[in-house]
Amino acid sequence: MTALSFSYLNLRRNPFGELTVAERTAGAIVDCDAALRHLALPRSVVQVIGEKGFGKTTHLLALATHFANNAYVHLPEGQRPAIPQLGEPLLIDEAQRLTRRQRWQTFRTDRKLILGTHQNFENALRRAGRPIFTVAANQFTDELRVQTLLNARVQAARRADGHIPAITISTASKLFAQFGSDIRSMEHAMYDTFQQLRNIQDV
Amino acid sequence: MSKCDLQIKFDREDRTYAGGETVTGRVYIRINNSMKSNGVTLTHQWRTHGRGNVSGGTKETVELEDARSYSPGEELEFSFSLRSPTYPVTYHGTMLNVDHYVSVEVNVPWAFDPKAEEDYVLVPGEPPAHFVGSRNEIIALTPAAGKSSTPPNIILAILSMMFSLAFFLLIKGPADFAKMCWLVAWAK
Repeated sequence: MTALSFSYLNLRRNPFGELTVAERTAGAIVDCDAALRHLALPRSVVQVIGEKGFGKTTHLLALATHFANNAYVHLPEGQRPAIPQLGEPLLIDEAQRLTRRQRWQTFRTDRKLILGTHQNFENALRRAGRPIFTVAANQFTDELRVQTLLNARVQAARRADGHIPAITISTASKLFAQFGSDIRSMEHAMYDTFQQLRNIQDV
Repeated sequence: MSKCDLQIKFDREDRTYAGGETVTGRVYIRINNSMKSNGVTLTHQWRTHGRGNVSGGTKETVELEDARSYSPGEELEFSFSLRSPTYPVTYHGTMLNVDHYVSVEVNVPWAFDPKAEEDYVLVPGEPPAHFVGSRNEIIALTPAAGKSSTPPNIILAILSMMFSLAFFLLIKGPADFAKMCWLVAWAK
């Protein structure tokens, strides 16, 4: 008989499956205060720098929730989607994929920008006269933060009151030692772990 | 404390329904703080979850209550009755899962909308409308339109010729290959 998904773990789903934008935003553990103070300045830019899987998109989405009129665009590899002309601030995910023309045009507008990028654009932004605040996506990542992030994902998938699996600091340390700041790779590893769990236990 | 607490309960304890059956239950709302609402909406949808991007079917919505104000301590109860789809049935795999959901949301202006969601299990029942014929019918497979109808022996002959030419080029060299091509063209 088909049972409810992951009910044997008191969960609704595998906590480390792909999330919707709303779910990712709701579960984000990001310190936005300094970036938000900077964004009060006219023409300000916040750039979130980090390699793949470090949490750039999560940072962007967490910041976006503070602005009802924001515009968000993700630049897929090999494609050239249009940059939204309305909405502020403008959030550009994978901003290193902007063409030179797009970069020149976007950096020289008066719209506040929040950039998720592998590349540091400080020099180009300064030349455009923009006040810049740079955040390293992985600046606070350590074993303890990894444990907090992963357990938050498990909590978000809770089905009912009662016990649910918990990630131990030992597991978090091993993941941090193996993957460094690559949270996405840790999530993939934990996805496989939870697929094989058959009862509620510490992981 | 949230503005209100929401709960969804299905009439069947095992929450299992066959495709096409009527799914019934009740929504319970307990108001904790004074609030205004622009309405209470029930939504019915199937969605995927797992390794890939989340995808889903069409959302079907029902308005349970119109806009009004609520006082602390108020308790509301709404019954719901909806026809379950005939497909996709509930599926729990390693990379992909398909589940069916009933969710309720209170539309609170200028605030995060309180919401609750519960899943139920859909097992095979009525066959989908576009599944015609009997379950035991033998299906004749035909090539899809637009695919090449070149007989396989001609394809083999072309491949053999190309392989021979390439082999000759590699062994004899470009000069002899060019001479050979000229000879073939002259012979034609």
